[in-house]
Amino acid sequence: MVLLKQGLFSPQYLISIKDIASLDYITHNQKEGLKIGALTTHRKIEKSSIIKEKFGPLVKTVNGIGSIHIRNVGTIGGNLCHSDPSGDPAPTLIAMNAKVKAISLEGERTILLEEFFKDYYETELKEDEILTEIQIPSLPPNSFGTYTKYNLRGGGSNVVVKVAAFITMESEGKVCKDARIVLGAVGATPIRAKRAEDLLKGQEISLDLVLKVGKVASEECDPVSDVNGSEGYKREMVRVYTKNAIMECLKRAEIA
Amino acid sequence: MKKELKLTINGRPYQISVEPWMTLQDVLRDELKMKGTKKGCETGKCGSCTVILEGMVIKSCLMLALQANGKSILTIEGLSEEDKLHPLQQSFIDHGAAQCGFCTGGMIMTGKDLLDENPNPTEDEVREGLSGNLCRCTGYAGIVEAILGATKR
Repeated sequence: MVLLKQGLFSPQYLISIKDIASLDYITHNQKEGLKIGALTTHRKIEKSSIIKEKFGPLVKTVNGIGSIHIRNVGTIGGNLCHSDPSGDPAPTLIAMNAKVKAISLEGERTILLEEFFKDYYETELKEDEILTEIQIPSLPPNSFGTYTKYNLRGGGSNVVVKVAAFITMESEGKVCKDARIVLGAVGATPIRAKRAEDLLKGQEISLDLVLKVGKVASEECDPVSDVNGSEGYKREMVRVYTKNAIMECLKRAEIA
Repeated sequence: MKKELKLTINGRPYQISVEPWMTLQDVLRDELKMKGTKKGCETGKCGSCTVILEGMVIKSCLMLALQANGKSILTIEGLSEEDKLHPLQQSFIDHGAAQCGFCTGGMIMTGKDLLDENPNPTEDEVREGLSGNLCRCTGYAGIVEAILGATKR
């Protein structure tokens, strides 16, 4: 809608799908995980007790989108299809290993969200496809996650960096079993900091290690200098925010 | 090609023909001449166009009018009853919460939605609720006090 108003996008025809009530739902079971219809509003997700209970970092993420006015209208599917690199839900959903379902007259297919974003405002969706569902697997035991972002002002202002991090710990001790770190707003699409993740996997967590993870993540992103900050500044913020995100996960795991 | 649009605004039914690209804000201001809903940034940042649609605050600049077809809308014009101001409007006056007044309608509509949902908010909750409404004059203190003050009425 904003692109339309700024004249960046002038379609001859526009079809609203917002009244398809059957795409507005939140379902959950332990085996299949969480399923969110593409036309579910951010506000509904933010208020969902099952999401609050089982997927807390998603509530924190969605809570940071624009203001209540925006969250009352904006939908999770619309947000993802818009493919704005500074979109909020994508990093968290990728860190939670989410998939999306797309349908067309040819049938339906499931796409790993990590592979869904192609470029600024471009996705894997074909012209005749619509996105219908977001699927999030149940989190493995001993998983702790968070979403942090740095913006210049609250209320949906421009964002410098966003970091979603999830770590899974071994059932005992301080060894990290798995880690997923996803960076937003510092490239054309959300970026998984895989080298930073690898540093954590199978390792005993220490402050030194976490500091190193932040540094490696800052090398893995691809920010551009703009009004929100220079490239160097954004990399530095990726370093700091990645470190902070991991520390917050550890705090939740009661390790740090 | 114009399309038929039916709306209930401040309890009164309306039926008009609108162009499909018109926003709800365009229809309220330019077609129905309800000028209390302001045009500020027109990109969903400033909140001066806030209205309440089916009990939810929205920014009328970001919704095509036809998306609101068949729905019920409350605008700033619908708050007072006869000559009696809504408690929030009175509280804004009492707390000197308006300076130029451009953001005030949006602030009051957002404040109303906030209090409808949470009749006794904390200052932080009020500030969070107002995060989508910009004021360039007052610095927000008066606005926050006015909303908190209205809860005591």
